[in-house]
Amino acid sequence: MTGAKKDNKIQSLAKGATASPWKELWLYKKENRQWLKKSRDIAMKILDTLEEKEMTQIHLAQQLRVSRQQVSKIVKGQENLTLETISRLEEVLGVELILTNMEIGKPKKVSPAFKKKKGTAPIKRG
Amino acid sequence: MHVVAIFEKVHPNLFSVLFDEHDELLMELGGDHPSTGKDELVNAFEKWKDVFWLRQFFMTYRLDLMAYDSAMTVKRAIRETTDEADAFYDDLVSMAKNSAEQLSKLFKPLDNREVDGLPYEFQRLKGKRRWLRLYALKYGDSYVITGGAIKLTRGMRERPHLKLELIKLERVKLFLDSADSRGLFVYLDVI
Repeated sequence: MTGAKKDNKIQSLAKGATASPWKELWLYKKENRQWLKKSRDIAMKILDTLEEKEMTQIHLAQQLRVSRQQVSKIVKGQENLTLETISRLEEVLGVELILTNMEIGKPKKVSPAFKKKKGTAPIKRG
Repeated sequence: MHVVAIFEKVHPNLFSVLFDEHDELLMELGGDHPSTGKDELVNAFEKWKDVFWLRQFFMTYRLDLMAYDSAMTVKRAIRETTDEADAFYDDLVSMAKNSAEQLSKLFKPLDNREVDGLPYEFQRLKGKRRWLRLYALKYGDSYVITGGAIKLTRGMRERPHLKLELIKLERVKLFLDSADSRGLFVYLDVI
């Protein structure tokens, strides 16, 4: 079979079939690349925390009062999460998922009990 | 099995396979491929952007990852894979808009060191992808993408998910091949 005939054969096989939606998928992801990267990083943090706490996605869904499917979408790292959802996730998981500019670089308040006096050993917590 | 066009109007020579849900021949060949109802180009792209799936993958093949790059962590591997998938598909869009000649530069024959005992062309073009691979059959001037995988090992027979890609290639070859249309097939690796 000649090359042209092979091409024709492939064309006829593909004829009538719905074209692949991959380009629309790619275009969407290209246009939303920045927030998708943040969603990805949040998903990674969530999955690490779930493993650390030996918590299942089902349990997380129950705590968040959302469906299992919704949690599944979140951990895929492709959800456009609202600040409300992020805050709830932080509360349930006990971790920070994002830091605002106000929080980054802000010196942590240290309790006076832990401040080391010059020339003395650090005060040990009772 | 269906063959779907990727660029119907812009480039008529690039296709992707959509496996049937219960492809008996594929399963007979040893494949265990549950069809998602999506073609293989979409399947690969979605896997490579899915944090949960990637994490599971790199945790499963953590030793291979460390053998690939001793400084690599699962977290970094996930980030690099998603970033590379973006670049990969950007290139595919860009190059596939050009002529078939450009398309032939996008793909290169599978290295015979990767799979023993199969007839391949032995051309080797310089690769620039870390571990993402799209596999395709060359049929005339057309390219039919049969699947995608993350390749951390040298050979394809060394891991079940890579072996599956060989099975899929073979399956599509059988589909396209018929008594009166035998031709040269080349298994290709996307650069």
